[in-house]
Amino acid sequence: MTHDEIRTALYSLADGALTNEEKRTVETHLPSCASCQLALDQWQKISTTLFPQPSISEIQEDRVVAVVMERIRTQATRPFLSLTNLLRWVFPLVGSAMAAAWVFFYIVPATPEISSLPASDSDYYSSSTPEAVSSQWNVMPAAYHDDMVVSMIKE
Amino acid sequence: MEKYGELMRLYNQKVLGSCLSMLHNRSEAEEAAQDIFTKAYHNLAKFQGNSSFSTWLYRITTNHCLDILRKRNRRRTTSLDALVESEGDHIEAIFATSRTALTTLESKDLVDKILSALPEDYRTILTLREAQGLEYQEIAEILDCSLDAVKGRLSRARKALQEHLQHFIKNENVLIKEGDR
Repeated sequence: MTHDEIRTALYSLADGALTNEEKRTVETHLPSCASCQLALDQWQKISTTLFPQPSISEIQEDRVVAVVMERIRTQATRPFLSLTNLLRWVFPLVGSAMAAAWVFFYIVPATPEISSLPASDSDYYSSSTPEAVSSQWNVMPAAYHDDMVVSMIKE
Repeated sequence: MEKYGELMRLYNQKVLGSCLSMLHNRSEAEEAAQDIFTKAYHNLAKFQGNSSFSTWLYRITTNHCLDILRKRNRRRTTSLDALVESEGDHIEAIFATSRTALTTLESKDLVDKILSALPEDYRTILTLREAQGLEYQEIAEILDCSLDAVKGRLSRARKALQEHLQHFIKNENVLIKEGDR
C-alpha cells in the first residue's frame, strides 16, 4: 500500500472495515508516521466534538411512547366524518366527483362527434346546397367574416 | 396496538438518538421521533421484510430528519468556507474545550452551523457512522446505495470536514504522543 492509500484506509481502521492484511499494514505504518498519526488523532477529535453519542433519558423515551400511543388511540377512535377527515378526504373527493360530472354531462355532449363531420372538402361542397353554404357564412364569427370580406375586396 | 408500544420501546433509543444526532435539538428530536413512530405505525403494511425492521425504521427516521433539516436550511445557508472564516476563533475554542464543556448553547449552535454547512449527503452519512456507529452494510441499506458508494462518500465527507477544520485543532488538543512527532 502506498502512503496515500494508507492515509485513506486510516479511517476505515477505526470503522473496523479493513481486511486483516490491510489492518496489519496500517497498524505497522502508524507508529513510524507522525503525519498519519496526527491525521487520525485530529479526526478523532473532530468526531467526538461534532458527533457526540446522544444521551437520552428514560423520561424522554417514555414521553415519546406515551404521545405516540395516545395519537394512535385517538386516530383509531375518530369517527369517519370528523372535521380532519372531512377536510382531508371527503371534501376533495366530492369536489373531484362534481368536476368529473360537469365534464361528462356538459362539456363532452357539446363537442361535435367526428363521424358527423364531412370526410373531405369535396364531400362538403357536393352535399351542400348554396343556401346551406350561405347559412354557414352567417354563423361564422364576425371577425373571421370581416377579414375574409376585406381580403376579397382587396384582391 | 399494545404490541406496537413494546416494539417502540425496543427501537426508541435508536430513533430518538438518530433524531438528536441529526437535529441537535432535544425538543425537536422528541417531536420528530413521535412523528416517525406514528408514520411507521400507519405504514406497517408497507413493510415487506426485504430489509430488517430496524433498517426500515432508520430509513424513515433519516428521511424525516432530512426533511426537517431542509426546511431549516432554507432559512440559514452559510458555506463551510465562510463559516470557518467568520467563526474561526470560536471553532478553535470548541476543539480546545473538553467534551463535557461542550454544553453551552453557543457551542451547540456552532456545531450545528458547521454540520448545516456540509452537503446533505455528507452530513447524513457522517451522522450514521460517527454518532450512530452503524456498519457500512447497514448504512448502504438505509441510504439505498452500494457498499462502495458508502465507503467513497464517507471518505470524501471526512476529508472535506477535516481539511476545513484541521487548522483549528491545536496539536496539544489531540491525543498524540510527543515521541511520535
